Amino acid sequence: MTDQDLRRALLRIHPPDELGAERRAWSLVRAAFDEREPAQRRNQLFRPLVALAVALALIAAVVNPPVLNAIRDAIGRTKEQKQVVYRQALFSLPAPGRLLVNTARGPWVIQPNGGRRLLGSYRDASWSPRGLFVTALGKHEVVALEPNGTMRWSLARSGRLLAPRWSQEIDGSTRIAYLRDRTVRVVAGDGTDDRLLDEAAATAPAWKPGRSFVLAYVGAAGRIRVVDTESHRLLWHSLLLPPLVQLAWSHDGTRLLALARRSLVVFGEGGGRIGRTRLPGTAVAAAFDPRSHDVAVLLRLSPQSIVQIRNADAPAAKARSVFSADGRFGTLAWSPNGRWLLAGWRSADAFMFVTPQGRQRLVADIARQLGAFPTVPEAGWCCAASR
Amino acid sequence: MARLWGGEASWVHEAQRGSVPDLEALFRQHWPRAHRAAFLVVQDAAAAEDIAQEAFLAAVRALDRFDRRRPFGPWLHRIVVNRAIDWARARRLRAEVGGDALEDWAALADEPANPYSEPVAQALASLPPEHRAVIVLRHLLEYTPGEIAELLDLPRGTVNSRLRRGLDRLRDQLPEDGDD
Repeated sequence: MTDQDLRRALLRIHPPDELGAERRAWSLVRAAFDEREPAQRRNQLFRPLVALAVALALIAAVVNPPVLNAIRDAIGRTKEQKQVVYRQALFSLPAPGRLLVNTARGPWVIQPNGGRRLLGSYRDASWSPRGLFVTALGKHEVVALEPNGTMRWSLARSGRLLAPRWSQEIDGSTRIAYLRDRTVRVVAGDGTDDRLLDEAAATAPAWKPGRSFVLAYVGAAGRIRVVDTESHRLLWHSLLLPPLVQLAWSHDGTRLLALARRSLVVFGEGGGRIGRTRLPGTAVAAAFDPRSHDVAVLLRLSPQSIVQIRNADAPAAKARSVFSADGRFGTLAWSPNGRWLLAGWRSADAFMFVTPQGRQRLVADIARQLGAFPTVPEAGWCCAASR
Repeated sequence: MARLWGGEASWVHEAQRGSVPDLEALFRQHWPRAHRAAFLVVQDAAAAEDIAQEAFLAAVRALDRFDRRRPFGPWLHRIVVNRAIDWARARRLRAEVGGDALEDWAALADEPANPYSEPVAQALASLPPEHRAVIVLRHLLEYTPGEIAELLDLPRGTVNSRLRRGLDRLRDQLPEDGDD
């Protein structure tokens, strides 16, 4: 076989779905291009002018030492300003609030201006109710951290730990529910009084917003159980359900969404079934609008992903698609003011921010900024007010 | 290095100024070979698509800084092939089996028959990713060994020996001329 034969043979081997791949790639490249910051080009235009100004200033400095001191001051200030601008340019959020994301390196807290902090080698972090603290998991511990990474307490626990979730605050107290092996446990927000609640499946538990500590989780038998964690009283349980991807309460605590891979069911406060529907794709995540009973659902319909808005009061009614694109999407989170939705676009290494009205904003290059592509907890975009 | 086409330099320049049609021209010019090169090295359709996509996204992010006097292709291919080698090495370490690569190989195009394509595809699959990469760079993308050394940040002797050993192994596994 000659070199020519080899070249011809290589040219005849085509990747499967070559045209589809090109179409998908172009849509991503085009979106990233549209989001490109033009600031650097402006800097290039100004560069000759800056050079000329510096040259003139240096000439002036030779004949006038106070000018030299002024130049030193100016250079010092410029350097400081540049550092700030650089941090802001890395990332920014389109709505107030801070974002908590989990990466393979650990959780990050991202401020609206792009300032960000790695909290340490933890995983599966989620906010406390007002965003004053973060709970997360170490290798064999449940921890509470301040958003600057300072540890408040640590609870050593062996076994497989999953999904710590912080409750709302009631009379100055909070609780954290977490999964350990095949059980669900509850510990007080100050790290004391850790106790077993029940056997449970590996779906993250969800605290019901309201005036008492009520937790929804999937019991060992595959039914949702809604329990008062102080009295251990079972308030209601569902019939047997398919394996659940997620449980989520509406922000007024009157709707509980049970998301399975191919269907969703909505329950009322007392356990009555509001409705159910089959989904047109594979469910990845869901998140309630903080202002209503609308729920955003992220579906995968290979090769596309779609974000739909459904009304939890009528889950089988026609859904409204707000965004769809080729590629793999991960998590979904609402901004605290309910105006923006964040979808993690893993295959584009980007965060896609969309409004329910369809406005879009793409922030690319996420993995480089955070060291790995992150997941965002359902309530990961939290609490406009910071300490 | 590959020739710097006047059209390409102009596309880069106009894309830097915000022109979408020029960006698209650049993309359409380079996507097929970048995608195919990634596929031949990683032998996994989804991974090849991801790698080529990421390379183009990296190119868009760095577009303002790109020196348009330099050719775009080698810069893109450096990203694609190095990422493809990393991916293939990681996969080898994970000792994954199966996958869609060989079954889907060739999606061989409806072009005049070439008796070597399928055997080449299968023989290439048996090589280490580092050897596949130099063969793809040499015989698909048509870089010289010196250029390949620069792209992969390797000594030229290493490139030559990988090419020689890779081609020897490839030819050992191919049918003799005239065999059916």
